[in-house]
Amino acid sequence: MALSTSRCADVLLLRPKGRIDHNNAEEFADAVKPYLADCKAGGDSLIFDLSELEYISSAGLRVLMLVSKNVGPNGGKVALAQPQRVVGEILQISRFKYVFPIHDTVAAGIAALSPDAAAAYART
Amino acid sequence: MRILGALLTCLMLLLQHADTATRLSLRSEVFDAYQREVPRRRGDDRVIVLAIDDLSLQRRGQWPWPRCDLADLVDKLAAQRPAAIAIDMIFAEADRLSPRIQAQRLEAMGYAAGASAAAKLPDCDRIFAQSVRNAGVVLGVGGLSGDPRLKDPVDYRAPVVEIGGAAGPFLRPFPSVLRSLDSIDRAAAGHGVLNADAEDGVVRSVPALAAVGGHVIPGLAVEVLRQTSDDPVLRAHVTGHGLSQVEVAGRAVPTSGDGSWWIHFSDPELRPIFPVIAFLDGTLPAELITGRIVLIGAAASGLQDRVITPLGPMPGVSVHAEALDNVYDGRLLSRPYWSTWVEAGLLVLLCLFSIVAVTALRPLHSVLMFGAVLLLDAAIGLGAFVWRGWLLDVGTPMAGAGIVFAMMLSVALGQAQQQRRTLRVALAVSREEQARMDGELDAARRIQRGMLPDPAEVLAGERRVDLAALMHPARTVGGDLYDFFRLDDDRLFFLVGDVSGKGLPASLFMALSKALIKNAALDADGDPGRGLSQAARVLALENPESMFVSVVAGVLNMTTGELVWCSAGHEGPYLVSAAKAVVMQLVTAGGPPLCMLDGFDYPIERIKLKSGDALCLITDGVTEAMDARDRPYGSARLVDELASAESGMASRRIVERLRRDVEKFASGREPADDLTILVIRWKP
Repeated sequence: MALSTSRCADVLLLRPKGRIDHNNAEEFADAVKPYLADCKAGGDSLIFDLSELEYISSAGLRVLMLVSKNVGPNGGKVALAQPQRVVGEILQISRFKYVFPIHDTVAAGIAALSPDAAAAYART
Repeated sequence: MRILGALLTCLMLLLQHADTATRLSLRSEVFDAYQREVPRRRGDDRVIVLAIDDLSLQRRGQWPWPRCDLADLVDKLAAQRPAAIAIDMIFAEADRLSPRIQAQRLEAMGYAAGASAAAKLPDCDRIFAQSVRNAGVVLGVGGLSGDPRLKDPVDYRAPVVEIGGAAGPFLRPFPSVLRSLDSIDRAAAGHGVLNADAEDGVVRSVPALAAVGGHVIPGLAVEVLRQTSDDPVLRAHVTGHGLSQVEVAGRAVPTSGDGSWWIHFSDPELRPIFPVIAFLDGTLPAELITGRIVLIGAAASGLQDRVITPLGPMPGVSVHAEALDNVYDGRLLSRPYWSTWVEAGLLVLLCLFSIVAVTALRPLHSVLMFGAVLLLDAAIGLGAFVWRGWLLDVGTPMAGAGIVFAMMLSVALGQAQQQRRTLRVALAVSREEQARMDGELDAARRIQRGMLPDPAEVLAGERRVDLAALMHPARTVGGDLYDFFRLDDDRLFFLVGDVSGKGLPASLFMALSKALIKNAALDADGDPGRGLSQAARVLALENPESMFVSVVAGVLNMTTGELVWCSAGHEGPYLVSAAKAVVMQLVTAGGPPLCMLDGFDYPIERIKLKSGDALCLITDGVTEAMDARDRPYGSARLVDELASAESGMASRRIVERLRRDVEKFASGREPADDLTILVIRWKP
């Protein structure tokens, strides 16, 4: 698991890569943590770009759920975008759509969160 | 450890500096080793030794010979015009074979007539002195460590110019002197000290200059060199460290501060020693003498003038011949005044290396490296000897560093052993701990197993359904669960669930979930949706770790085949249809796992089973089992596997077949997740 980030205006893209399972879920949680505070304070919105994520176990879903519980009540906005087939199935079975909006593409996710960011993303 | 090394190094430096007997004898051993390994190869042959040897005594009679005979020898040698003649002997007393001495004895014995006749005969000492004078012979003088008040009385000595200071105070002192009979001594062209410097019985050097009877006198070899030259003056170069070199006949002989001249010996077997008798009786070609330096000395075993050198025993006269050869071959050894500093430096370097090697390397490697460095040290010593003629004592640094290395290594090994002991104890403790933990986990596993219901008990005597289930934790205990129980005579509640995570934390949450869901299901009177919603509310209150559990639950009316089910973030059940032998997955809008969102109301689905239909409920331990190439088992293979089951196959066998297929697929890989299968067939 590796986490890379990029930014489009006020949207921060978090891009986990590889597999998130029981063994490295804690690592994933630690990697994500620094970006939550700002989002929580109503600042940047977060999009998890799942295009490079091959697998996520229930332990990984729990991390995402904790993000939701952490950020959601304070009005921060988080979305998931562009999951691969396997991850998409897992999210579907878990009904994760009730936790986060899930978008088919990163562009759609950004567009839903911030017009400014969508414009910035279109330019890249 | 390093401090210990540094202290030991200082101690070794002190010992090396102190010139103890051990240190000196070790040094001699090293120098002898150089000589033995690389003996001098003889080049110039202008020095020849004529020896009063056993053969000569056998032919000419016992020693001493009458000096008239010696005079004859000197005359015959001189006739061949040698470059120089030197005699390694001291004629301290009058020749008692001289007729004049015999005359006195005859007179004392009462043969007056014979005595007067003998008295008219010539004095052999005078004849010998004359020959010595004519031939320009160099004679030996002996330096004695006797009474210092006996000053050397003579007024003829080789002129020594001392450059850079007085040499006398530095030179090896011989307080008194032994010279030949005055008449003979005075006739000699020059005088050289015969003494060789023997340390523990081995001769390694001769004095180039010595302080004999309060005067500076050259060694025999230096004096012979002076005689062969036009320059009658010896120049002694003196520095603050003592004598550094003696300049003679246009050549410089390097010396130690005390005037010692280290000799590089050649193999004594290879030096020809000619019997005097062979020259006298003409066996030795006389022209051999012409232009050469002739050294005459005693070599007969009875005359006891044999010395031990690093290359073995040889006649004393050969040592002087070797010294002269050293000059003519240009092979001059020296022990420079700075050599002690170099040796101290080597000691420090070797000790530092020992300290670094022992502290940084494994023991075997450090021994090998240290051995290599010792070899390098030895090579430095031998190289300096061979190419520069420097005598460096590389043995003492080696020995000193060896001691430091051995002590450091033994301390290090001792420490390592101590560490191993500590580790062994720690390991034993941790194993004990592990065993206890294993024991507790094992108990937990049995408890968890015990919490899962047994179809034979719950459904005893029930013929309308055939139910089988299994749960395989990935570790000792797991976070998967299944449950089934009767709501009443007709209705059976069943569920399969999966707690996020694995192991002990998940298993605790699993136990809690199972109990609360059962409670809620009984309360909700057969509505699994309401049951799950209710259970979620209660679970959320007892969930500090924010875990969640996905559940698929259903209620089957065993009389009518009516199934009410719902899903909380879990895969829908697979329906194995009896009629058409097809497998399909039931779908529902469902909701997220319990405890993921607060206050969610789970929608329910209804379906009516046909007789013989079976439902298969699984957790992701089945579909997400990975093969060797990281491909998941997947629902397609699951559907195929279920479809291949014969119609009416016992639930128990379906479960077992599926488990085996997953196992085969994962081909020995450790299961990544807990695995649960529940199969229920309705057959009213």
